[in-house]
Amino acid sequence: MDIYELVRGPLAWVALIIFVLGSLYRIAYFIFRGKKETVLDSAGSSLNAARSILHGLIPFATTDMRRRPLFTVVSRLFHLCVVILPVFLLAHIVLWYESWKIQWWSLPDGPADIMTLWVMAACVYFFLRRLLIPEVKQVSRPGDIGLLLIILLTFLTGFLAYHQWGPYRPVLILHILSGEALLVVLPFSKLGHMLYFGFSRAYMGAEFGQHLRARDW
Amino acid sequence: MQKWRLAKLLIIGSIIGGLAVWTNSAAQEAEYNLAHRDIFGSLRRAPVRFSHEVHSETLAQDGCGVCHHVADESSGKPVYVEGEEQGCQECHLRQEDHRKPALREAYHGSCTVCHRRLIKSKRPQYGPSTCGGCHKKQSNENPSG
Repeated sequence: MDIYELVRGPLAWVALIIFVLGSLYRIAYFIFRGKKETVLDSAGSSLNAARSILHGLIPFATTDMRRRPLFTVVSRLFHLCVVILPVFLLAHIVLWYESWKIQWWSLPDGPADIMTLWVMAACVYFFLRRLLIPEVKQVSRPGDIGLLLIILLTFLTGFLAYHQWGPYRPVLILHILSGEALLVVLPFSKLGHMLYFGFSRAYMGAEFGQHLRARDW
Repeated sequence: MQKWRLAKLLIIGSIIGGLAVWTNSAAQEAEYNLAHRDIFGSLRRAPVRFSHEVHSETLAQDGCGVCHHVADESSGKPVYVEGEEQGCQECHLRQEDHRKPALREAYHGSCTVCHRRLIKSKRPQYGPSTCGGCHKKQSNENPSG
């Protein structure tokens, strides 16, 4: 079978199905396994939970973000780019129309290029942090470096394929394969914070805001 | 006598020269760039080098209706009418119009979808199926695809 057809067709379906079902499973797991503490006057302020989520979303709204401005800027823009780029890139929109006849607004190519460069530079920055900053190094596992490498590979190969630099077809196939690998591991790895960051922030807000009266953010 | 020889040389020379120009223009017609800057404005991808000759030879058994169609007057569905072959840009506009796909989608729907169909049906000759396979940047004339 033609390798491009294989990664563009059946493997893309496998990756998408694992991503969607895996994500639903993880979210359902968190919702149904979460229990209220069986103590008198247990913590659980929905208002504080919502406030914590909101503060986590707004740039520089938390003390931690204000203490590390460089990390905040690099990380915030990185997160915006990794979500916006795959959804609004022209090449992807053309493929979605070809497969499902759905279409929406596409990013201009120049800004998309800059955003891709930002993502790649941010991956190198995150890699160096895990390597050089003691408190980050301490909580880093080989798998974390692996995740960073897959993200870097996905965006690097996409960048090279767009510019048609290097051997086009193998680079494009590698781009699709690494993107599919990301979709597959997302619900089952640390990348899953895309799905459940709200749960952890809500927990912290509810827990610390109620009794300690602490604004954890 | 000298003058007559010179005249003969000039006549033969102009016939050969004329033939060279004619064959060259015929070759240019057989393969040309699809760009449609008048419709798309500035292009976001490289123009597509297209050979009508290669397509009509490769798809001879499938017929011209593989690519060429007009809207049926009663149903509006695309049908092939012999003698009414025309380029996509004659009907398809920049934007989608009453369920008639936009020009870009019409091209992709014909070219890419057909190339992929040929690959799936294991035909010995098929066209590119990737973006860069057709939209080749000038600095990279040969991305196999």
